[in-house]
Amino acid sequence: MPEVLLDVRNLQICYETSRGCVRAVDGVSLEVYRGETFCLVGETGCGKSTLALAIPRLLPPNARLLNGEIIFKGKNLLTASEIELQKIRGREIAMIFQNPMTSLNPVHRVGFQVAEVPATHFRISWREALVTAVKQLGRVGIPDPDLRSRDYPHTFSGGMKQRSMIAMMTICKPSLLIADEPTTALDVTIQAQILKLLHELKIEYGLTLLLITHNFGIVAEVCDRVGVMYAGKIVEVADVREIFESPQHPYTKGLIECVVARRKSKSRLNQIPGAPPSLLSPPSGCRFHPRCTYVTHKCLSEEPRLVGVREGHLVACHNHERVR
Amino acid sequence: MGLLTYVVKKLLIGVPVIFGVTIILFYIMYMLPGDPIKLLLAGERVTPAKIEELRRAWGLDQPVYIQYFYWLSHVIRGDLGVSIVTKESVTLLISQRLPYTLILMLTSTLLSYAIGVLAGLITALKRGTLIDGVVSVAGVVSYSIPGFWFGLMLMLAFGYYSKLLPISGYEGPQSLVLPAISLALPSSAYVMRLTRAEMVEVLNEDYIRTAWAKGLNKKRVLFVHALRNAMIPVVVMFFLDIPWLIGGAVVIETLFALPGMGRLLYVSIIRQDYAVVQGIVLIITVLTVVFNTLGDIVVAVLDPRVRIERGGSL
Amino acid sequence: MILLIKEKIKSFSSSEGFRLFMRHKRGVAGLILLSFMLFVALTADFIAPKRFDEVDPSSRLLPPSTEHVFGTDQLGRDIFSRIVYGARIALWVGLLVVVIEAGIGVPLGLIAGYYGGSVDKFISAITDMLWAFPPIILALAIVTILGPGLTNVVIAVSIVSWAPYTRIVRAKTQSIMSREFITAARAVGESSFSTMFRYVLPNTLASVIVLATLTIPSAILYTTALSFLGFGAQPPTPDWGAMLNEGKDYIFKAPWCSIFPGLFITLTALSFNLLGDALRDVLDPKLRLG
Repeated sequence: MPEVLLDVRNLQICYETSRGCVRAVDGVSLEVYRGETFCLVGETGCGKSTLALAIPRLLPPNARLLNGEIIFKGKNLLTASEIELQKIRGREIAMIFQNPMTSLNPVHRVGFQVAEVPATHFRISWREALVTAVKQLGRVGIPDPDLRSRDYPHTFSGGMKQRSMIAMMTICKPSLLIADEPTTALDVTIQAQILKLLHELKIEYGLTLLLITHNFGIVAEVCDRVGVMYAGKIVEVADVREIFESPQHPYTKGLIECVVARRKSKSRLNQIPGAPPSLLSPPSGCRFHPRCTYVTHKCLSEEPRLVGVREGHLVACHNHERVR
Repeated sequence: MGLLTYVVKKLLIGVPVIFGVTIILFYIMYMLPGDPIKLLLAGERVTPAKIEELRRAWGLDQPVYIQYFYWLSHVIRGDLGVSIVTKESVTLLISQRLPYTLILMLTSTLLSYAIGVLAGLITALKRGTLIDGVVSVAGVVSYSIPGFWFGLMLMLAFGYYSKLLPISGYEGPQSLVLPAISLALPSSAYVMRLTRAEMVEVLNEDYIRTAWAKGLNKKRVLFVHALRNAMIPVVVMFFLDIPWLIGGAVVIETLFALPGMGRLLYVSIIRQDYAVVQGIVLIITVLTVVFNTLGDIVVAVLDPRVRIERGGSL
Repeated sequence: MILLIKEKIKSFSSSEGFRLFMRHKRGVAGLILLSFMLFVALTADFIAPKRFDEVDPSSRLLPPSTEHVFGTDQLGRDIFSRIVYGARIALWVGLLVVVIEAGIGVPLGLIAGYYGGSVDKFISAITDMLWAFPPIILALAIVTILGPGLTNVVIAVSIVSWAPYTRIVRAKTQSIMSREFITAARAVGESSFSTMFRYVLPNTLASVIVLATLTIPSAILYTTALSFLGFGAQPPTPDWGAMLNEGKDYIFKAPWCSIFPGLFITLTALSFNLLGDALRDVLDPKLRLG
């Protein structure tokens, strides 16, 4: 039985706006096992980033925690004190963000920003921290790390900035690394390099990787297990092979068909008709029902629960047996 | 380009700017009404021939650009001319008074920024609370108050109700207290708004989230990361504001009867002592360019992104 | 053009923006204060008990009483009446200055933003140079050349501070220029002038209006400062700044001569500042840094 590193239980988060509290994450439960790469997939606005940010408690000030627990190494992160969180962030749970262009402080040198992490968490001198930082910058593929560590972020390319972020967030060898769409803002060629780097570091440091993405292509390449989110809810969880070979949820099936169609360069791209629902007033019953080709009466009134279909395969759909 | 190159470039630009402004300045002065010769003679009865002779002696019959070069050559030698009224050297007059004005300007700017930055930070961090509301309103009221009226009210308070601080003339540094406060208050409100806006914007930036994600403590995130960025425009404004306050200094010095350059300017304009006016405006111009250039240099020192040459307006 | 403005006003009044404004307590307070000032200015003839230049040597420097609500000045004139007429001057001057400033600054900004390149550099250089110079000094210089008087003060202050208008309009123009409908207009053959006027200008209006509201107070403060120095309004004009100039000599004997004019300057400036802040929060938050 694999060890559970991160246990999210019934998480409910909403954002306060002038029109009410928008339920971005509405009752999400999820387990991440130690040593795996877990991909959280979904369209923009489905709540995956919110879920990711909630773990190290980096949500914006207008976010409200309504319910739930996030258990990490026996501790509920949502009730932890600020001091405890500061010890965990960067040291045991690290996070890299989507936009490397704005995620580095423009007025401090790159080496400084990387060195801050071990300097904060370990009892070492600043000089030692800088040496470690330079070494780590080299490890992530920055050429001439000693020279470059003294440069400012604006002299770095997008790919190099993201590498620096990765250096910053892996230098303490955290247990869990959360990557929120780490390649979305980068060129396709760089994407592959970054993913490869993350994979290497994962093996070398024994990391657990929680990867957030909307790109099923990436899922196919790097993930061990996949969780699909839609409109603030988890609709399917399975091993990556399972999910490609026999998706049980209509939404997952639709997403996969888009990828497959593109790969086979079919003349027409399969689309999932319609658009994601408003999280302020979501549809009744199953949230996907307005766009679903397998919809039945039950789907309009009763919200499907996440049930086990096979070993390690969960799905939330009334008609999952019919999904082929 | 490196920092040094940037600095040198900025310094070099400063020089032609000063020249350019002196030309404009000189032309304005040339256009001023009133015949200096007549003033010089102050009512003496003289033949027209004598007037012409005097005119030639003063070089006033030459075309504008010759007069300009004349004047410029004197200025470079430190000679700003002679006061038509008191016959003293303008350079002497100004150098006697400039220190008072400079000290007043510096202290009031420092005071203004001390209050403004502090208030701005408090309102930024306590955004949306009662403190924010109260301080913000206080700020708006502050910059609606005319500085000279505030000075008058201070005079009333301290000259009549409590004799704590002097309200007229110069008796020592304490004479600068009330004038400095009068100048500092309205501008401190602008500083407060700038600081608040900058701080709020910076706190919403992604790199602050990164700082938190690294596990840094609150003090470090606020000071090393947030403030370090937010304060850049504020520090630059500090340098640009110093010459701006000269305008207010004219009014305040006159009001509080301080022996400064501002008051001299006022008095000279009324007496039509244009040599002095010219000299003072020249000094003010030089000061303005110097402080603006300093501001430009400070930006480059504080913000590494600026050192790369970019096109666009100055 | 007029139709466009009418349309915008209509859509604005029923929009969320309007509701937002009404909830902005300070903005509403500013509006109320301003309305009060406007009322005073417009009804001056009716509410002023005496004429502003009515001299009465027997009633010099009297403290506030039922007959003279704000007291009398050194020539026996009723201060309340003078204040009331002064409101007219202050509001009129403020408006005039802003109109002239915008009249200079907005077209310059449009041209700079529209044509870019060396035209832009030239205009920006002049604007920045002018703005860096302490405004009162420059205004003093201009007033010295033109001579004293309220009209000349208005001209002087306008010349000194059109820079913000140019800056804002230029920035706005540049951002609008990158939008496609401009390229479309020009592709169809619209002349530059017409494009600027019909497409770019209306989109800059919101920012200009907010800026205008926010620069009226500085216009009032500068003009009263110049009047305070004796270069502006000449006696017996009841300009509030001039009143302060006269009153300062009697600051200890008759403080009311100085308290009330300055108080009203503050209140008027305050009303525009509050109103302007609210307008800006509603219409264009990006102007926050002024």
